[in-house]
Amino acid sequence: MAILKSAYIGGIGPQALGGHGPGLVRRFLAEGWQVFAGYHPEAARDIKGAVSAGKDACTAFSIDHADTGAIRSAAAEIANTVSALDLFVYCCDAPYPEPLEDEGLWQYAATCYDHIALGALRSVETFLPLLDAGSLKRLCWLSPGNASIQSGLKGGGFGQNMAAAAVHNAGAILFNRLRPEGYTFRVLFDVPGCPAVSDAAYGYFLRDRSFEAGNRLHSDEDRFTAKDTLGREHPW
Amino acid sequence: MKLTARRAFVTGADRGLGLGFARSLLKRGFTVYAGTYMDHWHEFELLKEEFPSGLVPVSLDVSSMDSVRAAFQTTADHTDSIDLLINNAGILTDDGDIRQGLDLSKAAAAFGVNSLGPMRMVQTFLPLMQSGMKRLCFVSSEAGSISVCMRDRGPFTYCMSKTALNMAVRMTADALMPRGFTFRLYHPGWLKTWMEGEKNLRATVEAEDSAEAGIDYFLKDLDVEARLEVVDNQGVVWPF
Ligand SMILES: NC(=O)c1ccc[n+]([C@@H]2O[C@H](COP(=O)([O-])OP(=O)(O)OC[C@H]3O[C@@H](n4cnc5c(N)ncnc54)[C@H](OP(=O)(O)O)[C@@H]3O)[C@@H](O)[C@H]2O)c1
Repeated sequence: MAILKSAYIGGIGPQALGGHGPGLVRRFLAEGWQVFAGYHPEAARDIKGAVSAGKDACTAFSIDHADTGAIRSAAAEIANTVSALDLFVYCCDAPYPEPLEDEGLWQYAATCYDHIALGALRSVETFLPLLDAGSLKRLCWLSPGNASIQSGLKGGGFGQNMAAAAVHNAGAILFNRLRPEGYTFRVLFDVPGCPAVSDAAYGYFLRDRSFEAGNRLHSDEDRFTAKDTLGREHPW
Repeated sequence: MKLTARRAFVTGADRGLGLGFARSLLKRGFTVYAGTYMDHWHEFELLKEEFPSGLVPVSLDVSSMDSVRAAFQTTADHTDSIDLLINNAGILTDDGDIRQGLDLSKAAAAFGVNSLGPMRMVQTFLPLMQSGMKRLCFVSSEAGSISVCMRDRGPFTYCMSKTALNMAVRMTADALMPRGFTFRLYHPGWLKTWMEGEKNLRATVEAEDSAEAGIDYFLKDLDVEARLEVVDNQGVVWPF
């Protein structure tokens, strides 16, 4: 199958902790995309199957997302293969399991923040030059719906929820900065109980939102919003 | 309102808004346990002279669990109950523009102080808050609001740390509201304080004025306590 477009999917965490990254990688590959996947080391086993299914179309990097240098060297390798990336996706996945004892809770939250929230920021910054040269210029996040402060959904861990909520604010600032340059944005909430997250994410990340149903006033691309897999908008 | 609550703990009380909170509470007859981070600050010394018995300085770095535990011990040696915990301590970051290269060197510190500091305080001080007013107050910021985010250059990590704080408060409220705790999130306005290293004279709000408005809000009982919202110094509600 001919390669259609190229995507970077980063922040991929273990499936056992609710991560949808490996599924998303598989879905993009099935649609003929060239995929570069950045995963937390703990997700190695999950990503392996996706990589082998994709044959040459998938390259995966084990990345310490707390280390800008590690993200930069992955980007440098990617730049040796492609001159542009069309789509950037960051999964706000838990990098490794939450400790059981109370003592480690805040340390884990700090780690989550470094890997998820700052990791997302480091990754956007690093991949911007490749995305500038791409055709789609789109930044997407797949995030736990529990990280909506307002919606009142309960559940999820402190660390992951705090980090993911912080990512949403970083996304809003990036939206203000990069939307005038032609970038578009997607945040998909993984709401507990909603099935087929990877399929829904694939569809939503690629859909043109400029004339979203139910919004006749202006292009929906000019709002920074969060939707769930059923298409419902959620408050932040 | 009949005021029976009389003891409060304020973090970051050396100067700025925290000092204003301490002063306002002292004037209202509270005993104030004042978390002090700096070795010496002349305004705090003056306040101590003005209220020698009501103001109890407690050395505190909210980014350190050991320091928070020691502060708890000092406080517990004085009193068996705190009515009001005001999490005010905060630091600013300046990480630049995504197009010019971000400097994230202060990001972890900002998260450690602004987001996790209040959580360490709540977790540690809960044993002193099993009776009395049971009110947990947090100084957040409009900078943490995603819905009305107006910035295009950050400071990313200051804004993100306040959003993370709001999230943590939401989860803490879910856990503690059923046990009778009440919550206040406060945006104090743009303050003439020292966050940028020197007194910010371009800002629009005096710390003392915002502190008065904040304490009014912290002490007032609300019709609906189950709703968590960020309220500013003019009583305006900010969406998350
Ligand atoms: N200034 C504004 O316009 C504004 C707007 C919205 C929200 N806020 C929030 O309002 C709160 C108070 O800020 P402010 O304007 O009064 O700033 P400030 O003048 O800098 O006062 C903050 C106080 O907290 C102390 N502090 C710093 N790190 C600490 C730590 N690890 N543990 C304990 N205390 C620590 C500071 O000490 P050092 O001075 O030595 O660092 C200072 O005494 C903060 O949470 C801030 O985010 C401020």
